[in-house]
Amino acid sequence: MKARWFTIAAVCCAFVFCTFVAAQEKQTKPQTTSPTNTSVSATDEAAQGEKLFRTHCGRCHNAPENISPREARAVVRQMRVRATLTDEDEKLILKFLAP
Amino acid sequence: MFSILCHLYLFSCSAAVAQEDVPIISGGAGFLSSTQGGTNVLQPVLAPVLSVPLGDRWLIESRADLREVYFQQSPGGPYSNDGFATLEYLQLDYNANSHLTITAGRFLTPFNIYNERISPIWISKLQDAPYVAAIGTGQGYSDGFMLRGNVVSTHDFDVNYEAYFSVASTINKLTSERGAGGRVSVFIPRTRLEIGTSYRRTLEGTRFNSEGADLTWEPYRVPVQIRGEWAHSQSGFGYWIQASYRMSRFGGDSSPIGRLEPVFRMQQFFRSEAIPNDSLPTTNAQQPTFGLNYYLPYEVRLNASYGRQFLATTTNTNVWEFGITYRFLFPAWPGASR
Repeated sequence: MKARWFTIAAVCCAFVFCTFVAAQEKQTKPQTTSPTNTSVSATDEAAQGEKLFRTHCGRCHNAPENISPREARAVVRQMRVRATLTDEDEKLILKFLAP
Repeated sequence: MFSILCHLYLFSCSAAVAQEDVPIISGGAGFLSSTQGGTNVLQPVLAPVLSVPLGDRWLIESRADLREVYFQQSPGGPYSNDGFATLEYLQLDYNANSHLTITAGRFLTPFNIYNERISPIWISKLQDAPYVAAIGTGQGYSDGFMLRGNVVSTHDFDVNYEAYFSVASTINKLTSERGAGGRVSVFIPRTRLEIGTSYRRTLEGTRFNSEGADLTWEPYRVPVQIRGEWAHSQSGFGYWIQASYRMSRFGGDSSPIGRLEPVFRMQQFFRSEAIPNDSLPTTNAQQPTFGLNYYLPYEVRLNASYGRQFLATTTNTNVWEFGITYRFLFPAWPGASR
């Protein structure tokens, strides 16, 4: 009996929380601008790399601080296995981690 | 195990001297404490990860877990201690392309998300592993080979897979169970929503199946993470669901408030058959846990949590946990960062 109440309570909490998060997302959406860049500069590549990092790697951990390009290569190689990154993804994330 | 790691280190140094890539040592160190029902457990932990890139396609990676556990047998009693050294993985990866990576050696069993992604002390938001993390992973590690990659990848969704076979091993520090299984997941990058399903067939002793499902949702615009798993095996079934909210809306990630992260996890396990040594609660169990993490500069994090464990046949207990973790990353030899 107790277990059933826990399940119901957990599902309700999850539902309320998800609704709250979804509402927050909806509210903040108009404030952002969609990327319309056509020419890819180094800054744009780093920005794309950051977005890819957040999408694939940042779901579990933050970006390591102050690493050299050579260290970044090893880090990204590891993530390439875990997060099934493409060659292109790897290059862009490298631009972000060690520009 | 020390010998294995030393040989691996020497090999990595010699292999990398002639090339551009530098091996790195990363990982985490921490001091964890927990009090359950008045009994204290203290654990200094070191979990180094060695990563050795070999050319564009090959990678050797390894992680160990070294910890000393100081524990009380009863509330207020004297402390005993025991040391544990575990080689969690030591694998050779060949990355053919994003559709196929071949892994051989010892690797973390890819069943649901906790074991492979969230278990490191510098990543997990709460100290304790969920009850059902023990289902379908075959003690957590597999010795054999694994294929992984994405089946299809578009702007709207990715379909990823992992498939493995593990042999039975009784070698000291390299034990594993014979089994086979895999995981298939769909990831929607636009919303960072991932849904996966896992399966494992244990092919040793009494053969049985384990099934699992997992969910991860991390919206871009709200600093929240929602994760959950459901798992079933002959021992029983259960789930956990966890939400964490980084308060970076209050002045950014580096502000005093923005460094805070409240966490909540609910988990339940329902026992269906008594199976010894399956690392699961012996009876029906449930536990809500409230946590609060604080991210200090230089990759240091403070963790605190309170949970109440409700067991069907024994006394309910409070679970208090405190800890500090540090995530490190440096090249495998001095000067290699240049």
